[in-house]
Amino acid sequence: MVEYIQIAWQGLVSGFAYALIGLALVMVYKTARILNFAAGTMAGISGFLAHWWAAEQDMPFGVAILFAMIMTGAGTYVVERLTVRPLVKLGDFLPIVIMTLGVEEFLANVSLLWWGGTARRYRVPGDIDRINWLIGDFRLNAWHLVVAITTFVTLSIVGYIINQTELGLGMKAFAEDQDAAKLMGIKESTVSIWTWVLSALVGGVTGIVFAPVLFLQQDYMNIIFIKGFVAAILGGFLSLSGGVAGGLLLGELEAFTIKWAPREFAAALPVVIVFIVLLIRPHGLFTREKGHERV
Amino acid sequence: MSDPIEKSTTALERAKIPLPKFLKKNHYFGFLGILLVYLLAGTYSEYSQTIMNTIIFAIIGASLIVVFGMAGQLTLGHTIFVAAGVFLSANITTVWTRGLETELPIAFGVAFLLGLIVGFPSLRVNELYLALATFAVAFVGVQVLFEWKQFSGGGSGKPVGKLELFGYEFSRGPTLVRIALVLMLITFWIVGNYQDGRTGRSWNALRTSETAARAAGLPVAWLKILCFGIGGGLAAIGGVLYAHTLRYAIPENYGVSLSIIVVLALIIGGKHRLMGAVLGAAFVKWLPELSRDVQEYEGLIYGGTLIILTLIAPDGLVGMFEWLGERVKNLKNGSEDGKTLSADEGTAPLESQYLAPLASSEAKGSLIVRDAAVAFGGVKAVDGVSFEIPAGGVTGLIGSNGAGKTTLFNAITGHVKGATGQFILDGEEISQKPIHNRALSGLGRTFQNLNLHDDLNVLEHALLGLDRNMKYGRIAESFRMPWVLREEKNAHYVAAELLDHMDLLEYWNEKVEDLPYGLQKRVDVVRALATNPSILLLDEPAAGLPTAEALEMMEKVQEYANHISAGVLIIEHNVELVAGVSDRIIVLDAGKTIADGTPEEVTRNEQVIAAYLGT
Amino acid sequence: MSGLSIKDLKVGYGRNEVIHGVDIDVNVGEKVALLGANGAGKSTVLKTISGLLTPTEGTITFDGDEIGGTNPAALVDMGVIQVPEGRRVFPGLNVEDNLKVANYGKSPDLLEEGLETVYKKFPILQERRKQAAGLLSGGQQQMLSLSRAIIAKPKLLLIDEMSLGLAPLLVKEFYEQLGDLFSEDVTLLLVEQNAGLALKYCSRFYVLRNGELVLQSDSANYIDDPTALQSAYLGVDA
Repeated sequence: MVEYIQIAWQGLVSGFAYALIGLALVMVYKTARILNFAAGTMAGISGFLAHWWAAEQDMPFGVAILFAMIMTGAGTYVVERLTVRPLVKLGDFLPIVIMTLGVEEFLANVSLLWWGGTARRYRVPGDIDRINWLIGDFRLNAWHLVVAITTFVTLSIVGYIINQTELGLGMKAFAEDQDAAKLMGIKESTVSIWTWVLSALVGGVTGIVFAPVLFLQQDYMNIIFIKGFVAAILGGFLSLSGGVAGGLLLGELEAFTIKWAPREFAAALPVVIVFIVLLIRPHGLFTREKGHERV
Repeated sequence: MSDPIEKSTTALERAKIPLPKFLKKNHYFGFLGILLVYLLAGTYSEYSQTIMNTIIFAIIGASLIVVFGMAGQLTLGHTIFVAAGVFLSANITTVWTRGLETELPIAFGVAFLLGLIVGFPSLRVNELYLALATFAVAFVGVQVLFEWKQFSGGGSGKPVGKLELFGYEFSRGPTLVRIALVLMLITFWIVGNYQDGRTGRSWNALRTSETAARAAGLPVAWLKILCFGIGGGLAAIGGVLYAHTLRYAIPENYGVSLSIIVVLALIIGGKHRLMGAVLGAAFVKWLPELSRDVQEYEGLIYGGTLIILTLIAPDGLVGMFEWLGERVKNLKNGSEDGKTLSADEGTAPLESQYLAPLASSEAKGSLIVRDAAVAFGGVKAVDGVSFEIPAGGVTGLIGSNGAGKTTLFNAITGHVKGATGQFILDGEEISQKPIHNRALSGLGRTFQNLNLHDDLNVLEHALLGLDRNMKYGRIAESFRMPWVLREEKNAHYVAAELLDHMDLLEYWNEKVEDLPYGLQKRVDVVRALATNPSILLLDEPAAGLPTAEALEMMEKVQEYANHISAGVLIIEHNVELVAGVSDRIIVLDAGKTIADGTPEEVTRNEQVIAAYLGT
Repeated sequence: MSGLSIKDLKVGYGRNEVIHGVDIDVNVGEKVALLGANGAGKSTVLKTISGLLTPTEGTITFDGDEIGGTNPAALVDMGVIQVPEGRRVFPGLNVEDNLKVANYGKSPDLLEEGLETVYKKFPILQERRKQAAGLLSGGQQQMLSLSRAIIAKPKLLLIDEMSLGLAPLLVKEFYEQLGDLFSEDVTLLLVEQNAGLALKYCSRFYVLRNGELVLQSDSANYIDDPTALQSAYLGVDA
């Protein structure tokens, strides 16, 4: 029994990462119909910045995180204005996707040049990632608890912004009906930029909090990006809560597959899931199909 | 008037439309370039590795042109096909100790099948999803390779055996370059043949508008899957060469980053031209050769170049060169457009030897609609409409905004999901068929909001319509067989006459997006007419046109419909126009038929006037 | 001149010109209808005024300012408010959030005041204020759409085809209520296919056909027999 709880907890912890990235992807897709291929790399850079500043530049951990978040926000602002915004006006979305691929290639190499290709493990304050508690036979890693709390706090903040603030209202209105939102006085460029920044900050938090779990390597967030994307597909890509739920579900599925299935299959799991979902429920597991296209 | 000989000139000759030929100018240039490298292959051993890599990337680029450039499916999983080629090659040469004669067909075949599977999601999801789904395929592909140690050798990889062909062993070096060049020639030949043939045209069409491609009778689903199969197979050929170049196959080389690099290379080079594949390959393979500094920043440069090119030259380097070429040409020639037709009077198009055989005295296009209904959510857009149209007649369908006219059209052609009721065309029940099969049964349609293929020119739109009656197969097309050319030539003649009939001949080479609205409407009609339909469904052909222009166009359409004895069903708001051309008018209101009769009867009907004006 | 003044307006989508030079004047506080059959270009004109489309030629001035091509958000700040065709409520947001959106970027106090007004006029909306707007009936959605305009405090109100997809009786009610919902000095340009209704409410009208104005007149001349407009609408003599 304890073994299952242990596996379920492992799955939940990975699921937090997928859920957060899934959320970040859905946010941008929902409001602007753009997939940001650079999301994983951007999150990775945030993680690198924070831990590198803290461990190698002797910055206090909290300050390093704060600076990393500020850099992430500012960097995203610049990226959105310089690369995405000029293309949005053209109305064709393929170039934008290609653009984010270019940004991904660019940023991935910036980070490669900066930190090199080798995996690192930075220490976190108090080495809490090395503290393990035993509760009966159940092993609880302290950092995993930090991960869980951070995820919870992040989701709450995002939930608050979306549901309680005017910006969130604008984002929702914009996601539902762009023209009608414009007619209510909501500025497209304002909503777009803040959606990008918010999405990047969620990604940044994920990058920072998962760095000690995953080893810091130049592309360590790419795998999380893929799985976050699978999470988003599970959730139907248009539902924020669906993305989060999809992430948690994927984490559990994965944890239990590794336990019982051969390794080849466990590795292929995300693609298998994507294919199955696309086949059976292209609109996701948790949302109902809606809308018709008129020709 | 001109003399009889002049009179017999065809529209194609008058417009100077070039006929498809076995070898084009591009072929000679391409062949010369490849020959040059071939002959010089032994003399630059220092660079042979880079040249080899460039050739391999050019082949992979060409395979991507099929998937992405033509069919428009953004795939980020292309490396799994390359990896398939590489590891199959490693296994075949070491385990079976066989040579290229086995490696190439097996690599192509396996990757082709793999492509059909990978292409499957493209049927279900939009392009953004597809990009991510294929991205996931690439990502997971490597992991599966890692774990599948028997096939891949796991993390440490697998050696590649000797370079052999039918038992003859070759030294690598220059011979490998020569073999690679021959394979590149074949690959380019095949891809180029698609570009000139019906398959490439169909891919281009579905890229720009799937809806319209279906309406023209193209099997869009199969074409989409097929592009992945062919693209995958050709990429695997690049993979086999890659295996022999590297001599060692290691899974981690074939991950997401390679997938992205090959796509970036093609986009940087130009995704619609084979030259783009070459330029892109050269760009990513020769740049690092320039200096060590460049090598260090190569990824940065690729990413940066892509960002800049996407902003300023979406068609890549080739697009930039072509644009510059145009500018230079324009400077030289002044503003002369050279599009004027020769002054000779041709035969009237309908009497030309190409359109005359299409004439039919047997009226076609009897359409029975029984209890057609379409509901969106709870709203019944079409609510139990029934009528019968006799073969060969012109029927108008009018009604106020939201009356359900276009929805009824979409129900008949299959463009709307969940329509119920029976549709019988010339005695054949079509209610259950997919869109393109209904088109093949003889439904031709136009679109209210102009569903044209933006990147295609006017002539190609006509040829697309003619696809319905083309017979040559895709394998014959791959190798440019004589009968393929014969049929293509004939289609060009027919298309030209058809354009002439609709007064579009002088614009044959214009991209449709550059045409004024009125002409775009005609192009839409031409595409539908070219399918030689039994019944033509016109959705607001006159909307946005001045009445005189609309009348003129309708006259031409009617003339052609009479020529082929097809029926016409026309939705129109311009009552003046409908009343002028129709034998009969059906009026819809709130999804139901409220009047049905001659134009005089209908325009005097109280209920109709009320529905239009409201009281 | 103050009020709305449109001179030689041409609008197109890409190369496709759908409005071929239209002149419309609406004085401050005047109620004017823009009539025409489906596809005549009425909505295009309205969308151009509200900034969703950019004119290719011609000028649009409001209160003396040139507003052609200004972005919709800035126009909303100036008091140019459109009630879009087909209501366009945000189906996934609840009724109150829909109304909040209409107050976007303005003080919450104004919202309080606006909500009070709206709920007094349409009590059903208050009753259903936590319900998703997509679940409302067509008539209730139209109430919501109009309520958003009330909260936005228009100076120039543009109403696009209120009758679309609603039962005739309901539409009639809305038209009768319009005067009550908005203050007298609001300038109004409404697009309508249903001539009978529009003429009762507006003092003047224009008829658009195929992107050109074919008739303008005082409503009084036609109010008793709107079917006389048929030839202007359809381009055929009855």
